[in-house]
Amino acid sequence: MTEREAPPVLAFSEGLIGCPDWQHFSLDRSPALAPLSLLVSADQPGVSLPAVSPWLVKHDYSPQLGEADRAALGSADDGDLEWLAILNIQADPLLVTANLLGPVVFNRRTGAARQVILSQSGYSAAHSVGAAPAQDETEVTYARADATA
Amino acid sequence: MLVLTRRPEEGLVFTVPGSGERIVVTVLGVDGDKVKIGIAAPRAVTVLRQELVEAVHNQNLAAARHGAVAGNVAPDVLRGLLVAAVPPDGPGSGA
Repeated sequence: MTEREAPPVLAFSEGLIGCPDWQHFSLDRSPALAPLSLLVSADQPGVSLPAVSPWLVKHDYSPQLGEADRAALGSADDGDLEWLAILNIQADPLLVTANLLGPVVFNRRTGAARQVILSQSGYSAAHSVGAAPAQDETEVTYARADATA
Repeated sequence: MLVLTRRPEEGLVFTVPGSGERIVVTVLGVDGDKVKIGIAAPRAVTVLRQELVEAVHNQNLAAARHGAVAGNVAPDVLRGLLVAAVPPDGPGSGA
C-alpha cells in the first residue's frame, strides 16, 4: 500500500488527547493540498486538522511507540503504521508549528488510530516549522514518565 | 477533587473498571518541593505527565481553531518551509 492510500476512516478509540469525542476522521489527501493532509472530523462539524509527515518537518525524527500504544493499534508492525504531525497553521507562514510531541499514528490496514505522547523524546508540541529547527525543543529531564509496570 | 495525605512509602490503589486490575501509586520520597512517585500499573495503562497532556491538548485545539487558515496558505509556501527544514538527503523513512 502506498502512502497515498489510507483507510476511509481513521478510528481513534480514545479520541484525540484532550478531545475524547473526536474519534473518527477521514483523511483528505487531495493532490492540491500536498504536502498537507487534512484530518477531517466526522464527529465535530467544522473541525479539520492539517497534518504532514513529521519527517518533512524534522528529518531525523525518531518516534518510539510504547507497548500500550502499539497494542491499541492492533500490535501492528512498523511497516503497517503511518505517522502524521498535526500542524498549527497561522496566517503568517513563519509562525507555523508542528506537534512532534503528540503525533498521530495509524494502522494503514485497519484504520485503528491513536494520538500518542512521546514522553521521553524531548520533542515539542509546537516545533517551529518556519524557523531553525531544534531551538524550541522542550528539554525533558525525568527518568520515566510514561512508565508501565 | 479528593484530597488525601500520604507519607513516604504509603500509597494509593486504583482499580481498573472491568478488569479489576490494580494501579498502585506509592510516595517514594519527598525532597524539598519535589515528590518522587512510583507507579505500578498494567501494561495497557498509559501514564503521562499532566503538563505534556495539556500541551498536546492545547495544540489540538489551536490546530482546529486555525484549521480554516490552512486553506488560505498557499501549498507552495508550506512546501518551501518544509523543504527548508529538511536537509538535501531527504527525510527519514519512519519508525
